[in-house]
Amino acid sequence: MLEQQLLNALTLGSVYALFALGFTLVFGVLAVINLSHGAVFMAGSYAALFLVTRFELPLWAALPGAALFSGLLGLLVDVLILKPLRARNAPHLIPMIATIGVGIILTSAAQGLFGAEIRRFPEEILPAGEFTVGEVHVRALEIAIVAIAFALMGLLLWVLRGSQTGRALRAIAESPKAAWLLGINVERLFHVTSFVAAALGGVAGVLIGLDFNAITPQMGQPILHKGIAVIILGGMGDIRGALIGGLFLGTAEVLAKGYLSSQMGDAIAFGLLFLILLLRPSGLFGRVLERKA
Amino acid sequence: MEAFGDFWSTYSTLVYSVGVHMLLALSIWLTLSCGLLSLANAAFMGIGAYVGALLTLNLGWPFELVLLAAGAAPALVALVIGAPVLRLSGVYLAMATLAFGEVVRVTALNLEITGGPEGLNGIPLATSGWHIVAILALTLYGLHRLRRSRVGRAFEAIKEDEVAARLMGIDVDRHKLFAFTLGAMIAGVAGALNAHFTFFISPREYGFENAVDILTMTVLGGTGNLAGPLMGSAILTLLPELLRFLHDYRPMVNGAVLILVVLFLPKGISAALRRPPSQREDTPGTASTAAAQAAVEAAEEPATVLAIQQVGKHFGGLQVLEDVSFIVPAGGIYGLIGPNGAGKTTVFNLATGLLAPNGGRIEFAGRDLAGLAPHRITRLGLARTFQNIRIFGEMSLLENVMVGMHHHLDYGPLALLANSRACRAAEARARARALELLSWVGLAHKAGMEADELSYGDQRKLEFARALATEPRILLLDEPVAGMNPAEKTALMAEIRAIRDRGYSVFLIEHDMRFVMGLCDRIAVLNFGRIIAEGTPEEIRDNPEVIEAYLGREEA
Repeated sequence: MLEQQLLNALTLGSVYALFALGFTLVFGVLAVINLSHGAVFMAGSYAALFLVTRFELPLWAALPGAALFSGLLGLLVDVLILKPLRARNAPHLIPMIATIGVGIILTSAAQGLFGAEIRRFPEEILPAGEFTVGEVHVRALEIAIVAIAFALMGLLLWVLRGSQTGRALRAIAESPKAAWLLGINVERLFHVTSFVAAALGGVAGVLIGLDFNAITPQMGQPILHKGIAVIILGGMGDIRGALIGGLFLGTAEVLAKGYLSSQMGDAIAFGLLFLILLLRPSGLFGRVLERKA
Repeated sequence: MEAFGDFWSTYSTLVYSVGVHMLLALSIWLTLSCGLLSLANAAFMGIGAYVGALLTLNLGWPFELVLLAAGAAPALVALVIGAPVLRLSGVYLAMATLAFGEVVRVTALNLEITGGPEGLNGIPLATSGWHIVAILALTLYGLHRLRRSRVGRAFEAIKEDEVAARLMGIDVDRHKLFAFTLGAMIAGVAGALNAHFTFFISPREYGFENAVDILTMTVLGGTGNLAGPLMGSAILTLLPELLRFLHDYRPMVNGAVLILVVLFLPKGISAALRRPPSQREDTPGTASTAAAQAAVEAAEEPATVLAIQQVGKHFGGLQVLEDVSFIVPAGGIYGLIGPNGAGKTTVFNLATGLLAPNGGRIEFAGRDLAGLAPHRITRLGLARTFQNIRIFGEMSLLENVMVGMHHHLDYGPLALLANSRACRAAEARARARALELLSWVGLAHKAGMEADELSYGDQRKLEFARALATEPRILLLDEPVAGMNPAEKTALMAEIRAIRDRGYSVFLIEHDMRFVMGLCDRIAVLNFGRIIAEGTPEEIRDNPEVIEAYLGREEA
């Protein structure tokens, strides 16, 4: 039974981590708490649903399509809203308030276009295989979700660690001004970061949509709150912290639901978050890439 | 009359909602005015609503008493969580309050007494228009009085620069807690009013979306004045009624409004509608003198003002100060010099309580400063200026100086609310003294200008006047001539001598040697965290170690 719970925890936690990764990346590089990340997540899963039902694309093609769509949304937000605010040197809470507006618009648009009711992927397109290892019941879908989430996170970490772009991004996280003086095209990298973060968020949306096979306009809100909990748990702007924090929160939530009560799952996330903020505002896992805004 | 009756039966709920939203917007305006972005107000509203509804439903309390309890309950919660939560700043505070809001919502969702997800039904319709009007009027009056008082000035100062506010003698933590708690109380009362005309409440109404709605109203209206939240909440409550034809797309308008306001009207609608202010406040009249106070203090001054004894400070592995000792005598101008990075500003930060020493002792007028918060040290009579000027840019010169008088204005909350004679007299005295100080530094004619509009040199002078407003015995000046040309430096030397002649002790940091040599009575030289010489300017000039460490390079 515990093994089964741990498998669920791994699935949920890997998606939380993927979501939080984009969230924390934007904070680390742009110094913005992007509260539209939850709505972008939701938009990603609707995009995949649309591609699958309207154009009858297979899932493996709909997934990159959804990533592209949500990535472009993120880019649009950066170009139209965050860039002018940067140019004006607005205090750091102002962009956050603006992204709340973006979230409202996207959620309301989805509700207008697709209705408030729960939408589902057609059963026949989901990976159907399943098998049992010992007493643990494993769906092929779960394996696919975990594999995709970890592959993308690995890719991102590899880029950040090993490439010139990654070094430039880390330089910006330290000081955008110094990076700019070194000849780094800071604005371009802000755009790239916004695109990549939103694309990751969109993929996370598709994965959650598949896992529960339920898509609603409101689905971005709870995950946004969890994303906030994760990046505070892991330390704001800390990439590895988001990964560990996501898995940790997923596990805590699944276990709380399994062994305490179904409602306790959410309470755990926020109770934890609240405690961490009070006791260790720089996060559980040490080093923080925080930028003084 | 009949037409009105029809209108009222259709729209009374809407009109009530406008009133409740106004209260909510004012509650968040209050925390914003002190620089706190708190998203907890929807939760406080919920606590008020549930407490109020339960008291009415289960105990049958009279409505006025219910309203009191509905204000007191969230205020109590705010008081308890405030101390730890308000240590956080900026986005961390926003996140913590958001998390708190979720905890409250999930709790209401799971408790039996709150009716779980279904909420509470059949709440008596006890709210009348008069309740809302009376409470709104009371809140507006109270906030208006607050805004024009020492508390309002302290809020604004905290919002602009927390550190500078602390060093003006303001107890920043207490003021933040006060704003947070009072905001919670207003939100709680609004919640109870709301619950008693909507018949029904559920946890859904007090979540993140509502916190955001309240914030949107205030941001739309503008936080610069009290009209802002009123306008914002009226517009955003009525707008959806006009946009019914948009159906599901209706919230998009809210989102778009939020973004457009942030992008194009950063100070909100109310500021955009106002005529550009030619002069804030009134221009100076004649200044009455209050300088007698300084003279009295000078008379009982002990011979030593500030004694630094074997003080050490390290940051991690970096030893910044080591066994530093010197004594600043009363009544003169004392200089601390040394090359860049010698640790001079650290000495100031230790003396003003911004940092704690790792060893040694700092005494001010015979009193050990260990463990004292910066605002307490300021109140003992120690004021400072900053190397990179830290004035309150969006406040007028007069207000800047009056912030410094914060702890000398000791009227209580009741006197403030009643606008009593004592309160008005204290404010008038403070204003006169502020004008006097501004005229000392030659800025009285600009008293109504915003501080940001001043030239660099004038901002320095304003910082002097503001520091003097705390009525210090000693004035600490951190590189007062940084960035000035020779003519300005000469003028400033005269200014500092004049301050000394008025009975203040002056302790300054500088690395401009000529300036220090011509001005100071005694000088201490700091190099790599150690005092290498101390004495009169002549002794310092001839000290070989100083020449090697410092002057040698300058003359080369």
